[in-house]
Amino acid sequence: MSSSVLIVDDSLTVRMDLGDAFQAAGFSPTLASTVAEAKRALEQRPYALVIIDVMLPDGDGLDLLREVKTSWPSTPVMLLSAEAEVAARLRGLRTGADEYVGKPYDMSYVLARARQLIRLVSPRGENGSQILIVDDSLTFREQLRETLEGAGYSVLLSESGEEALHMAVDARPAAIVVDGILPGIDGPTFIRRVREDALLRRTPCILLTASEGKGEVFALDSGADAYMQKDASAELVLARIGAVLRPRSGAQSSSHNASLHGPKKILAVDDSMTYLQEIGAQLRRDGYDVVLASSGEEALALLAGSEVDCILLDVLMPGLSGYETCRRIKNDPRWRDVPLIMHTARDEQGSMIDGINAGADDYVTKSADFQVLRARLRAQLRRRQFEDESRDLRESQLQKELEAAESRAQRELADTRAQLLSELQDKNSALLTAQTHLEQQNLRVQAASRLKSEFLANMSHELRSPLNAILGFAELLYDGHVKPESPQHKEFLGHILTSGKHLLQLINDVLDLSKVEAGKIELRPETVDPARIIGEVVAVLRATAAQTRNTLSTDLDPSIDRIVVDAARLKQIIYNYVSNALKFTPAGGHVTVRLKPDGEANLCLEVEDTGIGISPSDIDKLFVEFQQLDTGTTRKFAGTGLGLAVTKRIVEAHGGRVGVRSVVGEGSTFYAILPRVTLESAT
Amino acid sequence: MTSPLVLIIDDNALNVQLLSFLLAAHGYEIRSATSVAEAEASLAEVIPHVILVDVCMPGPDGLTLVRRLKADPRTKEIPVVVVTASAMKGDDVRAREAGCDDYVTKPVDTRALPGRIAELLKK
Repeated sequence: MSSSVLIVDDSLTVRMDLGDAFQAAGFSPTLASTVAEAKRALEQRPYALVIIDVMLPDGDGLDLLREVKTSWPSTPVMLLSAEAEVAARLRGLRTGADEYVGKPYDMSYVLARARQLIRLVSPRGENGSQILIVDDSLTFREQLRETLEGAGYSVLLSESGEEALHMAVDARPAAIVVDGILPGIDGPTFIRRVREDALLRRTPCILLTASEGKGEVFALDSGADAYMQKDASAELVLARIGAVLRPRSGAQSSSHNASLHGPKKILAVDDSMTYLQEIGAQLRRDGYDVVLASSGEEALALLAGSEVDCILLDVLMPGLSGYETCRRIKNDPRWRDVPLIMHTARDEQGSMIDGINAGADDYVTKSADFQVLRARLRAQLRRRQFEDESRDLRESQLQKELEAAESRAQRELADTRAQLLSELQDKNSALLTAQTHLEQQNLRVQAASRLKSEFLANMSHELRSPLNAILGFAELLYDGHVKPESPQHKEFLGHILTSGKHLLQLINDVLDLSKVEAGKIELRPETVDPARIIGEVVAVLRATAAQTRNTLSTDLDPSIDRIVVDAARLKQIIYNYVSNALKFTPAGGHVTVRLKPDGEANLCLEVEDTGIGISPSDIDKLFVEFQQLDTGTTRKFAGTGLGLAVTKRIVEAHGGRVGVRSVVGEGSTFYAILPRVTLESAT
Repeated sequence: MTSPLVLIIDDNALNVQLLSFLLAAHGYEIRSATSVAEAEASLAEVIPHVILVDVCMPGPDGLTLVRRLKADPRTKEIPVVVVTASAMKGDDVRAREAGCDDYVTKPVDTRALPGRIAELLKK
């Protein structure tokens, strides 16, 4: 798809010249001679590029430029102007022109800049690789173009090596096919130039040769990637191009300005208009864009408005001298690096030294022959390019080092952060655990404290009940309310005795419990016959069983005839269990004391009753000190409420454990698992 | 003048015997009960002049009975003395809140109790 270009110029010659050239270069140009025509054209379709003459018959080119930039800000605009109008050039660039070309212009420069500007705005759409064909024969160019386009390539055509170099820089083709023999620079020279250019040197080049035999040597000498005879078949051509393209895919591109063959802008400064014109003409012939300034002041003003690639500076000028202008340019960081060549008619060593001292990069004596100047210019441009390249290299190296350092720092930062985070999490979790632990401990302490208060209240209550009887009946007797000979006198004395004994039992239980609690219990293990111990306790409690009209029996495994245990404590265990069972078993019930093995090392002592049973929700409270079941039950079956708690502690002190199985309304079985051999005192 | 009737309620037989003997010696007529249920049955038969009631008993406790008595127009005027072994801080407050007219802790002072009852009867 060709790019549309609008050319606005009132000169028919210029319009036709530009139009033909753009047409031939593959653009589709639209021509306009006035502002009005240009506006009409702009309304009809968008343009990839607009070229405007500054002086137009019905208006100012700069106004048109402004309008284009307002309505189509991304459309590049190139201004054309007669070279003497330096102020207009500055105004144009400040108004927003993308390029300012002086008349008379260099056509190849205009075309190259046009391609550049269009490509900057709209990068080339990739429809297959682009191949540049360089050949002076129109027939051959067209023939090859047909072959390549038929195979899906897009094709650029050029008839000379010089033009092709510019085109290659702009278009950066995937490959170049160049004829060996060309007017101007020939094929091998073209390829060498391509290889010298930082931007182009990786572009594969195929050299075309007419003759057979010498072709390959010829091609390799020049640095070509391949060679091809001009009469090769279409298949061979496509195969060759396919081959050179394959390994080159992914060729790198660098910045456009790095190219030696990109359009270069030269600022020439001289107070002689005649000499300026001559320099302009000479340099344009080499493809440079030349900006002319007639004084040091004008040169500085121009530099402020646009970039140039090299400066040619006359020494002797009215106003700012060449040396002073040079000094100012070289002191300004914006232009310090632009190569500057002092140019003077004075051929003496002194002025050369002055020029170099002022900061000039080179010094050329004015001469009718411009060969030396052109060569120096090329050298300076090349030097500038090398400097740019090496600076780019240094910068990219520094950048890489910086990036590496940054990424290292970031990695370290991330590591540190992760580590801190993990430490923080650990500490948080430890803190949380500690807090949970403390809360649990606090709950336990609170529960214990509540139990202690309840115990005190219970103890107070339990002590006051027998004391009430003891003191009350004693007062009645002492105060003479009861006659000594009356039967009540003796009865009341009996009440005092019974209550006193109950009080003593209570105190003993509390002391026992506190002893076990404090870990002060002393066990005196001895070898005993368990049947004998059980028999003794049962004998004592048989009277109680008779009172409650219950039967009391034993069921003892005869194999257990020797155990090592604290006999007094064993009696206490049996006594507590059995008296408890009798207490909670209604009249007519049975209480059985059972002894049986529990594994190799243990024995199981069980007391089974046919009593009221215990609800599952109350089982857990049974052996807990100071915890009482339903108050009513406790009152009804009076007792210290400490028996089971004491029993549990004694069994545990022997290294055993207690438990109960119970069904409400059917009865309960309290058991104690004890080791057959108790070790020496557990304290 | 007939003797004033005292209703003594306590689950402990010794306590009932002690108070009964003491107050009988001071000229009171005695009825006794060992639970709240028994006491309510007795109250259905005859209204006493004064009631002595223990707190900790199987079934409903003494304070429950006090609240019921004070809520019933037939019995609310009867002076009630709570006689209890619960003598910890706050026990007296709970008894007063239930509506009792006097509060006596065990062991009972047998020399002072008859006087306190006589005081209540005068009011």
